[in-house]
Amino acid sequence: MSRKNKESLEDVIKSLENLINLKTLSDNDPILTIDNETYTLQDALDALQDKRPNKLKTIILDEIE
Amino acid sequence: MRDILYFSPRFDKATEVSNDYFEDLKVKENISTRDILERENATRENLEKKIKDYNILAFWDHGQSDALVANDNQNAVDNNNLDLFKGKEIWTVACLSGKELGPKAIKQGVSFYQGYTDVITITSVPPFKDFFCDALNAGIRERKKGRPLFFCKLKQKRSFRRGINQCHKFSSMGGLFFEKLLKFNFDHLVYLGG
Repeated sequence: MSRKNKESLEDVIKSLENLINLKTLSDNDPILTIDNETYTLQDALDALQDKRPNKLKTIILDEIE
Repeated sequence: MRDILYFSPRFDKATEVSNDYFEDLKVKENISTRDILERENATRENLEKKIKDYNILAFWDHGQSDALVANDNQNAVDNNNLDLFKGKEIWTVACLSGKELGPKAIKQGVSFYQGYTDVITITSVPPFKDFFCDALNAGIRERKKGRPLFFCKLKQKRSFRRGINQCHKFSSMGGLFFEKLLKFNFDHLVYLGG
């Protein structure tokens, strides 16, 4: 896919924040699972904003860098 | 000999979502209950008893690099029972097993293995759930219809591309996030043998 590199991590974070702000999902609803880990919207946002490495952030960075 | 044996545990948050993905296929393709091992019936023992009567195993969720995991957290498929799958196909919606188990399976006589070489993501968030489910299930869905392998692979790749594009259309509403996750799944999809 040639779309790689067009967006930054900040763009992805902004997109996720917009989804959270729509409030169509409960804050506690699990939204995705990766391997054995389950994330809510807020978990996912926290993971992307975390300075420490984590699997979710690694996946996203792998697709934009 | 029957066609496809469907195996879908449901014992934690991840398998709740993946079992829903299987249920989607089950309803749409009108799959007979006699061809299904799901929830508490999705055990290694039951799989080993039934697989001899089938040509294909379709497996949902929880894979390790060297195994596919059953409902009781035991390995459903690993190096010790691969001989039961000689000459058969294995299709998975599972993390990692394309890395070691898939190549081992082909070496031991499995005719075809579809898997992923890294962790995969599944989601329950609408409308993205539909895009993920469609792409991840696409290959086995086409195989159920009796399509040849090359066609199933082609259709699955198309489903991934379509799903990624559909996610992108919702860019400002979380779509960018889900697009990257679905793209990561696609990047780690492998077809071995066949």
